[in-house]
Amino acid sequence: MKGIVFTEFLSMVEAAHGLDMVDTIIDKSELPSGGAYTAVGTYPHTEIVSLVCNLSEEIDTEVPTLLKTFGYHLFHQLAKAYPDFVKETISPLDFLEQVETYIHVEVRKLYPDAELPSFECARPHSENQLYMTYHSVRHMEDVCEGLIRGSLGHFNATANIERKKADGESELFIITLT
Amino acid sequence: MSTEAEKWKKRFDREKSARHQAEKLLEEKSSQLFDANDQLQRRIQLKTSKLRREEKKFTALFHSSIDGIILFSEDGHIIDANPTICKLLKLSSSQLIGTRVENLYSQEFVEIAKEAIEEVKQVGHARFEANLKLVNSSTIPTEISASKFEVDDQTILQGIFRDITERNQIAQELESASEAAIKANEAKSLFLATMSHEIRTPLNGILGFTDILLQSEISEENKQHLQLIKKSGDILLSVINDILDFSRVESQQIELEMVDFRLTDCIEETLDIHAHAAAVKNVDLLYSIDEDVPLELHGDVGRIKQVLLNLVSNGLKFTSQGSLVLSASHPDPATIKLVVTDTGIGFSPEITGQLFQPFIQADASTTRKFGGTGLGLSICKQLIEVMGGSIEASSLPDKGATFTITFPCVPAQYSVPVTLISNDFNKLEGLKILVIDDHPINLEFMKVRLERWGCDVSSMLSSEKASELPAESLTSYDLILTDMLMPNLDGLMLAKAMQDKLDSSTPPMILATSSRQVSERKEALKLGFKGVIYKPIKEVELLKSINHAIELRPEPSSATKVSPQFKARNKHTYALIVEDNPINAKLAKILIERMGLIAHIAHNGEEALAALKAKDVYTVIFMDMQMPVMDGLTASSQIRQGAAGSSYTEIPIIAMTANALPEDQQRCLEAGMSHYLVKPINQVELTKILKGLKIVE
Repeated sequence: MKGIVFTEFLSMVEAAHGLDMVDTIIDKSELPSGGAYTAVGTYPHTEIVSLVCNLSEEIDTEVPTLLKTFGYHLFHQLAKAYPDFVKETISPLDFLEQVETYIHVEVRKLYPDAELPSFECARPHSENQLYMTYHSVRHMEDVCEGLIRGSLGHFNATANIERKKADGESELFIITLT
Repeated sequence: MSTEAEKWKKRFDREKSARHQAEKLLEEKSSQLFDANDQLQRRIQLKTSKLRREEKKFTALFHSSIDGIILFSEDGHIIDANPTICKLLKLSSSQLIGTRVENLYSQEFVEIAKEAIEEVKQVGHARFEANLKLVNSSTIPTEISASKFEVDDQTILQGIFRDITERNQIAQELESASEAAIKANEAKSLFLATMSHEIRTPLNGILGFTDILLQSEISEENKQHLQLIKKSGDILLSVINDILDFSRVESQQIELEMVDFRLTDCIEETLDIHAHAAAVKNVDLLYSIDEDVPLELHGDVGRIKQVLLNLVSNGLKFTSQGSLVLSASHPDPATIKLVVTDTGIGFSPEITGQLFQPFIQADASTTRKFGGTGLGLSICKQLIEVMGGSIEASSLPDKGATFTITFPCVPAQYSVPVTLISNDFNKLEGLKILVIDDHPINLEFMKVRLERWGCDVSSMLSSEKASELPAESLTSYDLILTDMLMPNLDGLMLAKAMQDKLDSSTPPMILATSSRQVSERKEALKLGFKGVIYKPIKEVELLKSINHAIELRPEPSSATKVSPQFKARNKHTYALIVEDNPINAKLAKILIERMGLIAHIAHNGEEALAALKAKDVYTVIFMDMQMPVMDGLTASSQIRQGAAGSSYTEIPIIAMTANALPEDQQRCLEAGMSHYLVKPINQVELTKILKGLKIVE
């Protein structure tokens, strides 16, 4: 997993719960990296899992909720760091469709080893309803939801988000604009 | 419990570590970038050098082409010009670039050039010829091929200019050469015609007067000398004829003169010419025509006769005994076949192939023994082949030779005027005729012919046996036709025997003889023959003779008075001779007056017209062809049109000419001449014509 996930997670923890909390979860997690993350680096996925679990224990919040919050926060950070990607589109559904077709394509150019989830998009019923299917071995569907909500927020849109289990190990998100 | 300092130390260490990692990754990325850049540069270099090579190739092509190349844009502005076109136009490329491509052309070609460019735009290519104009106003003819191609979304048009000045020049020279060749050929033809005339005219004099001398009172020795002169002259004439013919055939100048003609007449006339020669040699001249052969044909009768004459002449030349037979058949609807068979010395089969090649005779000794130029058969072959026919020869040494010619059977377009009228045949139906001849072939031919006419024919080989036939048998015949030359009892003797036996009941008799000796004829008539016909027997003659014989009741034979050789019908029959050459005129006068006519001479057509207009006495005109002031053809046409008076419009005009070419004959006929005598004029021909015209008997 790319370092940016770790650095953004820890900075979110720092902002919400202070540096001590950061130290705590780092110490508790027994990380091979020692908790020293740089955004452009690559670290084992298991480390983020440990960190998230330990935080969940510490602040007594369920992991899914944490991840959704993280996803939401992550979106805004990414949007700030790479404004060109969000400038391309004006509609949230268009943007979401583009994640796979454009954003991830560009990411892979720079970071060929990046493990990115893959998405399949369709609008079978209406222009305002997007069927977005999430595949990833990491199963970070909640982070995905958070990111989706983040993007909706960025475009000042409101929508209903429905989640359904799909084939394989995929998750179908049905985003209906309201 | 960590102290604050320890906590911060830990945090600091983490940050440091993160920074180091970032630095390391940065270095890696830089290195990767550097490598990528390097690779890219190399790729660019490779591509660039490849492109440069391509461009060099094109540039080399462009610059080194020996044809001019101009590149221009779709809207007609020149983009580039190669050295060749610059040299051609005497302009530098910078002077050409930017100018309009139409300006290259001479005014009259601008339109064509524009059309060509349109064609290129639509079809992709075009080819045309146009003149380029130079600054100094001179022009260069060029052949231009234009094409187009795309480069980076831009359409470029290309014109390749080839200087065709030289090519045009060569074409021009070819045309001039061709014209010159045609003119040369025409000159040759003219030369031939002139030579024909120029040579024959004096020959006419030589042979004519030799003939006259021969018939005068001279010593035997002188006679022999004269005969040698005549013989030489004849040979010379035939050599000249052969050469002229060959020359004409060689230069492919044969144009067929297609006319309607009767096959019978053609064959009979051919054989007639050789009658005397054959008689002297004691060779029978015979002909037969199969029943199914159409007699009225359309073809070049002059040349067919020429070929037949040659074949018969050859046959006779190489035959000293026996017979020469000319037979006509109709092997298939499209072909007429004529076969000339002789019983002469023949030739060996090996040389068959060579026979028809010019200048080759059977062997060298032939020339010495038999004379001739060796041109005859090759001329025959060419003539026949021009007609679309074929000629073949076959023989075995000492077993005679057979020459076969075939030519296309084309029926006559109009009915050929026939001298025979149907009436003539009526009386022959069922006529009982006894034919006597010691030669089986002759006998057979005669029998066949008469039976075809509906006669009831009996034949006998022996005159002796015939004379021994019982009287009742003999008198049952309506007509007896007998040969002259037979062993023991010749024709005359037979007649006498018949008369003695049967007296006034003797059936009418006709004598067939090869000899044209007048004394024999007189003798025959004295003995009671109703007619004498000459071999080779002509149908017309035979028919007339038979009709004449059966009409007459037996007359007491009266000795005919000995009178000059020929008797003119009227006491004063006038002939007008129109001839500019005094020698020839004199010769003609002598020959004609010998026949009992009175001849006047005019020296050209104009004088002739004047003479005719002045006196209404002339019965016949002998017209030379080439004369000053007014030539023979013109004079004849004028006479026919009435220029000499209405009484002369139908007067017989006999052409006398040194030009023996068939087209000349045609021209004479068209001008209104009725007959044709070739110089040197000979007595026999003259007599024939005058007799035919009933001017003499």
